[in-house]
Parts: sequence; structure tokens; C-alpha cells
Amino acid sequence: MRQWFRIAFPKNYLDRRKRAGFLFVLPALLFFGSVFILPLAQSIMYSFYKIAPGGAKEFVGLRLYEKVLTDSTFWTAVGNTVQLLLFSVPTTVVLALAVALGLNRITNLKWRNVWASMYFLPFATSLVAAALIWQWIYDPVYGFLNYALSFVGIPPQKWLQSLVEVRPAIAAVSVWVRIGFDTMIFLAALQSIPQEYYEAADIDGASAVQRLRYITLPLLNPQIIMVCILELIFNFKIFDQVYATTQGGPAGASQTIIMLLYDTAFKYFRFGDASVMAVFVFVTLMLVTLAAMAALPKTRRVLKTAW
Amino acid sequence: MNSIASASESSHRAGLSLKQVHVRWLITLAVACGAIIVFFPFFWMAVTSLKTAPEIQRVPLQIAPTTGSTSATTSKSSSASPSCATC
Repeated sequence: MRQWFRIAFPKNYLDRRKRAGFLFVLPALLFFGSVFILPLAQSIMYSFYKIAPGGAKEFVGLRLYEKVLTDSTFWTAVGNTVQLLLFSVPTTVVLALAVALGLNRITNLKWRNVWASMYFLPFATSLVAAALIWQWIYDPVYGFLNYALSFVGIPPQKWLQSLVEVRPAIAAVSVWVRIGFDTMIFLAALQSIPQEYYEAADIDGASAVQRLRYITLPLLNPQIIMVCILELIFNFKIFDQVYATTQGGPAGASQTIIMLLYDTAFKYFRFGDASVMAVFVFVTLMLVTLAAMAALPKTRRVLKTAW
Repeated sequence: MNSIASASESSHRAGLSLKQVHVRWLITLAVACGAIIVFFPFFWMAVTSLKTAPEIQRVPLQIAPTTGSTSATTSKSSSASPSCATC
């Protein structure tokens, strides 16, 4: 309290410096507080209230948590989201790493930039626009994908209208959107690896696979973990693609957590239930991020001891 | 083809073995194929925007638009949407 008073009414140079620092941080703090912290606090508070469409609130304690967490629809949505994660996260990371390794080997800078730009372009596109492009491509009758597959003798598939294919189809859109961003991260990391390591490996007679296994991948480990976390967060919050293409259908096969949250809040006006889901998403993502942050220093320590 | 051959020769002269040159070309080819696949939806969107509604809904699929009439495109394509029950 005394410290805050000294910042508000500085007496010496050091206090004035502290006040200047605080004033510089204040706009960002106000923005973060009003845009992130306040809605989060409100969401947590609403999860303990049953809210009628008119705005009347009734305190129900943990009853909404019990209701939502024992609801089979909620766990189906969680299962769908996890399946989408399992389809898209490993595919995106592996493909992005492969593309980055390939781009790193291209010595012609002009062409490397051209190919890299082509990979990055989907990331710069609006997610709804991307979803609508893919809706055209996936169309069972007029879509290009079925037309292309007919040349190799594969019969027309229903894609977004099939209970089985809808999740991989949406995951493919996520992979397409995210591959460029992840590739750029890996490419930047690859270019920062000193060439001396590879020269030393060449002198020792290491093969290309050994160089990848013992130099490139260990040095890319922090970036791989970071990209995995980013992909996990992005895919856990997946909404735009689902809303623009299937709206959770067919028969709830692509209903993700955020899609269910949106329906619960803005279709059925059960804001209390939706707040419980929001808290679930927040807690899950926070636990994943904390686990990853705990894993990162360990990875660095392992790398240091390895070298 | 001549430019590829001359590039291969120059790389070969730069100290790379023929196998390394071939691997480098294969990698470039794979990266380029991937980039074209990733870019294809944009191309398809651009091509579709130039088609009329009957051209979009033609079976078997028509890749390139046949007519260049923009008025036909704007008047008819607005009603065409895949899997749209309300259109």
C-alpha cells in the first residue's frame, strides 16, 4: 500500500521512474483487464447462476457444473474436438516440418520465397472464407475433390455430409490453414542452426538421416513443442470452420466444444451452461499450457546436457 | 529442360555429387508440388468466380469457364451454393 502511495506521489527520482514505468504499462493493463480478465471473471461468476433469457439470475452453486459435466452431448462434443485434434495436430506439425526442411534445402532464394509464400497464403485468409472454399471443393456432386478422385477409380464420397468423413475433412481444412504459419516458425529455427554442426557431422561421416536425428531435431525441439501447443490451442478452440461448413452436423458428428457453447448460449439462451463450458475450455487450455511451460525448461536442460 | 540440365551441371561443378544434385532437385520438386496443392483452392475459387451458375453446377465438372460474360456470372451465380437447402 505504501509502495503504491509512493508511486502515486513520488518524492525522489527512483519513485518518478517507477511511476513512469507504471504509466507506460497502464494502457496495456487496462486493455487486457477489460477485454480478457473482466469477461473471464464474469464467465466464471455466471457459471454459478441460472440465467433466464430476460436477465433474471438465480444462484445455483455447482448444480450447472453437475448438469453440464454429466451431459452426454457435452462429452460427445469433447470427443469430437479431441478427434479433430488427433487428426490435425500431428499432421500439421509433421507436414510443416517436412516442408520447412525442404524449403531450407532450396538454395535459390527467389524460388524459395515464392514457394514459402504459397504455403503461407492460407494463413492470411479468413477462416470463414477458407471454410467456404473447401465447402465447394468437398461438395459431393459439384466438388472438385470427388471429380479428381474419379480419375483414380475412387467412388464419390459425401465428405462433410458423412458421419465418418466429416471430422477428417474439417481437420484437413485446419491443416491447410495452419501449415504455412508452422512452416515459417520451423524455417526460421532451421536457419538459426549454425552450419558448423553440420560440417562437423560431415567430417565424422554422418548420413543425412543421422544429421536430422542427432542435430536438426534436437535443436528444433523447443520450436516443435511450441508449435504443438499453439496447434493444440487453435484446434481446441475450433469454431469458424465448423460453423461455416456443417454447423455441427451431420447428426452432431462435427459438434465441437465451442460450437456447442455457441449453440447453448445464443440458440438456447442458457448462458449459465455456456459459462460452465467456457470455464472448462479455459481450465483445460491453461493446464495444457502450464504443462508445456513446465516441459520446456526440461527440454532445454536435456539439450544442454546432451551437448 | 536445358535450363534444368545446365543448373544440374553448375551444381555438379560447385562440388556436389550427382546424387546430391538429384536429391536437391527431388526436394525442390516435392516442395513445389506441395505448394501447388496448397495454392489450388485459391485457383479454384478464382476460376469458380468466373463461371455462370449452370457452369458451376455442371456434371461432369467443368474446369474452365466457357463464357466471358460478367453480367451472366453476377446475375446467376448468386443463387448457386453447394448443399444450400434455402437457395
